[in-house]
Amino acid sequence: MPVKALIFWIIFCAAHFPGFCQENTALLHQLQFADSLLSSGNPYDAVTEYERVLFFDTRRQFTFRVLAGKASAYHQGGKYQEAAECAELAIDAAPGISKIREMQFFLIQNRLLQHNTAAVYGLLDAMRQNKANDTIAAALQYWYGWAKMFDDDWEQAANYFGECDSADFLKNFCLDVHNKKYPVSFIKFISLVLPGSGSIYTGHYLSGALSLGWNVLFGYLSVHAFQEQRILDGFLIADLLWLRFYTGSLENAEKYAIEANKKIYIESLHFLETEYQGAKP
Amino acid sequence: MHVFLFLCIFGIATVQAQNRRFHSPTEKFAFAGHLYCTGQYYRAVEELIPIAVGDSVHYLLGQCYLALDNISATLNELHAIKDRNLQSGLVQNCARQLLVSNSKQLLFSELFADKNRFHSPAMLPVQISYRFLFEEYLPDTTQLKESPAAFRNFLLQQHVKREHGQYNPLLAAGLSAVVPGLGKIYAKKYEEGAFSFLLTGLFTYLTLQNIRHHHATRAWITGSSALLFYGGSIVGSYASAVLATQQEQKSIESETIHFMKENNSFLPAEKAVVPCR
Repeated sequence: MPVKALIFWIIFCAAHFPGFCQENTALLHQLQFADSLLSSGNPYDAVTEYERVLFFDTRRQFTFRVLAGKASAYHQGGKYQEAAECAELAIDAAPGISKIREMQFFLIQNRLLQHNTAAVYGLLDAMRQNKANDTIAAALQYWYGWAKMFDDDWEQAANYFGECDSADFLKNFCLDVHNKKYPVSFIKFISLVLPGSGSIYTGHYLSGALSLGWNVLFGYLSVHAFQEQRILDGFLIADLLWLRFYTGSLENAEKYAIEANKKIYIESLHFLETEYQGAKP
Repeated sequence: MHVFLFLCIFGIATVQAQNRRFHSPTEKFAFAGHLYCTGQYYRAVEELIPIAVGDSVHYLLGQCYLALDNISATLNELHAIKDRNLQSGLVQNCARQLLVSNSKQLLFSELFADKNRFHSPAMLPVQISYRFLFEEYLPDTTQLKESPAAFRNFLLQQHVKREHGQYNPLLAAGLSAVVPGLGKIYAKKYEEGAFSFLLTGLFTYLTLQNIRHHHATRAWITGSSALLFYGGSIVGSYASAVLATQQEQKSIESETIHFMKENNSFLPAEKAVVPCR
């Protein structure tokens, strides 16, 4: 080959080399720009810029990074459903097992924030069935525990955290919450035996005392009516007044217990959200 | 010399590589098209606003605004378009949106202000349907003859239905004043009419019986009830006629819209700026 031709080809290839790199470099810049928007707390614009990378990345080199970034941006912006959709796509596009796991755990946390525990269990079950995930069994138990907490099953959550090495705080916390919660069936039972006692048990003293008073009064009146052979009066008082207050006391006790438990549930999750330092949704 | 040439070309290519930021108007427009096609209208608008020059951009902006239900912004973009074909395409989409969302009269005058926008014979059904639905009259026979046979027949049939679906509320009230419940039967509320007739009749009969047997108090009670039912029957017949007319009109409207959708009376834009795959 003549020397001139050789030189020409060298120049040609060298000159076009930046052209090949051009797309990569520009896309990388764009991706960094999107990342910077995300880290500066601008998730809306970050999503647009990630989308731009995805659109111009014709060779699909940055698909995973873009989808993961988009998922984070949506998550940061409180758009959990969109974040979950992006995370699912990112899992499909993930280059290796570690990235897949990373996105799966992200998805679990996102689904927990959506209170979609059914999806979390599905995902965790699928991960547990995969032999490759045997090494992260403790992490799976940890997130099972979180899912149980969101399901308001604190005892079961404590069991799951008990199987993790470094989740003693959460285990004890769950047991505390479980002990703090009011036993609804027991409260209904004591209200059945002594009307108003269930309300008093849950801290509603006035309501409990009133319930007890009404029941005593109408119980006395109906018994008295029967004793005086005023059968119709007795039936009417018992049916329309005594029974109404008796069932009302039962329903009130159950309602107060459920409300109190709901309050405990919300306060507990709020405490974890603000105070707990470990991995959390 | 070769080295110099190499450096020049390499330098230019490198600078170009550094400068490409995917924010040129062409790239922005292409990206906005992608955003529009994936339903991200707000983002598409944000991309298009800085480059709002040219018919295609205005058209796409108009489509985005339309998708966002911002009709006034859509109109602004419509006025900015100079190309007749594009303008017509956007107007068609506007018409479709309005017809589907049943926003009566909202843009009617605006959309049909310029006759040249609808020079195409294929647009005739849209015009006729609009007049039929919104202005509530059947276009003249010349226009009807020019439209497709199936459409023409359907519209005539709907027109007849509409003529028959008009109930005069005063007539209904008058009928009920003569015979209680007859007005309701006129408004095709047969069960209510029969019920009204029987109840008024029953209380009238009881009143007469009580008067005959000199039970003054009972006669007052039953007589008042009879009067109440009689008055109720008259007022109810009036309301039933109004309601029945409205229901009939609504059913005709939805049938017409359904027919238009089924038969694809709306044409796609003549020149698709951003074909969504």
